[in-house]
Amino acid sequence: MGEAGDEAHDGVVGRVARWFDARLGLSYEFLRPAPQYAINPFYWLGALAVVAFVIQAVSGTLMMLYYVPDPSQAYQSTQFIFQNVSYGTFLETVHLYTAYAMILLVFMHMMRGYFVSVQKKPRELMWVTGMLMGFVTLGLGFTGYLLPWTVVSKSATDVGAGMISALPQPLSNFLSFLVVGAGGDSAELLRFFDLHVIVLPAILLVLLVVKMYMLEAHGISEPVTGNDGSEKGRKLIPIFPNVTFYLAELATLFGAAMMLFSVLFPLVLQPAYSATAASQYTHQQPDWYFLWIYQLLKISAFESAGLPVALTAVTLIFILLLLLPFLDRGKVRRVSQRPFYVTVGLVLVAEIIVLTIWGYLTPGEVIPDEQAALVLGGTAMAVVVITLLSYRLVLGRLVGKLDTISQQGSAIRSSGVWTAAAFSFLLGLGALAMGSAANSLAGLVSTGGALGSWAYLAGASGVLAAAMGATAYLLYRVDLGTGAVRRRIRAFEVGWRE
Amino acid sequence: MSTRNDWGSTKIFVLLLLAVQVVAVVFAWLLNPLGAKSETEYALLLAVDLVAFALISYVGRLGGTGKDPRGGYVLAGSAVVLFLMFLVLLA
Repeated sequence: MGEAGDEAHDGVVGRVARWFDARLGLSYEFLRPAPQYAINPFYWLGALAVVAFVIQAVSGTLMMLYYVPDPSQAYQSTQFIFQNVSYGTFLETVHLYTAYAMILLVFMHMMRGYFVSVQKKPRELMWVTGMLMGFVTLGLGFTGYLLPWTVVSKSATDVGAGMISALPQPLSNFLSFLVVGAGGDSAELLRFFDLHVIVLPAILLVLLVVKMYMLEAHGISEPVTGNDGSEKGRKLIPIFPNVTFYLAELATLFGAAMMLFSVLFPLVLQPAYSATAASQYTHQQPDWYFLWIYQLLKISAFESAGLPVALTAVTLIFILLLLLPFLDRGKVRRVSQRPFYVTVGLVLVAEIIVLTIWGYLTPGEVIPDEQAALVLGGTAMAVVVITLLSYRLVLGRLVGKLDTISQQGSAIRSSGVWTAAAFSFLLGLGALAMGSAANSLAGLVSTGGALGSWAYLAGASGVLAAAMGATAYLLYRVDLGTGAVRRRIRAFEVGWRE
Repeated sequence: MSTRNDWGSTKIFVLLLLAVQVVAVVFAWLLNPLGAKSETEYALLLAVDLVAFALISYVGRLGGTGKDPRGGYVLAGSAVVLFLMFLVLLA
């Protein structure tokens, strides 16, 4: 049917849409079409984070009309927004909750990408850009938290600023000048305000443009199963109207959820900051998204002298994540064939969740080394054992090997149990030895090098080395990562009998 | 393949949602913006508008491709709109 025929059958809406399309070129395919499999919310977590950013930009701009970035007026102007500005509490609440949602969405987007290996060639730089955007998002959260100038926000920021001062020079001086300044509270608040409303959003936008350019060049990554094989999965659909309206649905539902949250849990302004109020406030801790780092730093071994070590370790985690595409260079993307990276990722997620909840439950408490080693080691052990057992069972099913395994009788099944038991034992032993070694190091520092502490350290290090060696041997025998379940179980069984 | 009757009921459904949106906007416009209660009502009315928009978009998108919208999604969305409107009355 020709265009004239289409027009004849269009209603009013169709004619209006056609009028706009003719002038704005909405249906002109300037963006590459998306595959059908991309009609899935998990493909749009990053886009939803951008939607959250837009909501924050709008609500933040409105609040900026009233906010004064000066310590003497910051709290009063925030209070004014709450009490005197039209829908002020709603604005503040939505701004905060979308910020939380943005951080959560960015984390989910990153971890989904990690597990389905979106960082593989040719998308390595997309991953790096996305990680940088994640850091900027955390920076936005950190800088925005101070602005209301409440006792909670100022105390939490002081904790963060204290961490910066523990970093090695000249990094410490540079970051301190950049974030805190040299002129006390006024300089600090003004810097935070500038970073929050100008510098970091501008950097985020530039990075977003770069990432979108690369997305247009490479397209949406294929499913790990390899384009899902079906005709339907390979079908391409135009960005407008199909994908645009799908994204609009997700965005509006996300917005509605934020509205509902703001109704259910409206924000209450905390008391104002003052030196007296701060001295009486004993629950100094950062906002939830930094709580896992803070909890890590509260471990006894990392107090004072150990702080730079802990900060270096946390920085290393971020650097390793940033450089992931250059570390995980294999071509395999399937979750079932990447047990090492999947296990490491699951341990990371589990540890972050455990540390965050633990930090929330123990504000201001120093964590003894043994307790930390048991909780963190226990979490890692549990995740590793469950993951490895899942791999043995599920992977076997996936590659159709279970029938051959079952034919070989109970010896192979029992070898799986023995492997899990050996792993559990070794990881538990390693965690205890690690805690004891950290404790003995702390003892060495406090006693000034007493002989008993040296012996304690040597013993703990020896046990730790033995546990690590035995784990490495076990991993070698189990031959992780080849995907050849039958071969490795048979080899393991033969080795076990020997 | 959608029948003429299906399209008729879809159009009525969309028109109903549009009417709900108009009512929500008018009510939001009439609220006292400085009252604490109004903030709750305003947020809920905005949520009604957004969910209604998502439903219209969903029905329109699938209708445009010749597919039938999933009844479960439409029912769930409509239930959410009604629930939110009920909350507005309670607020």
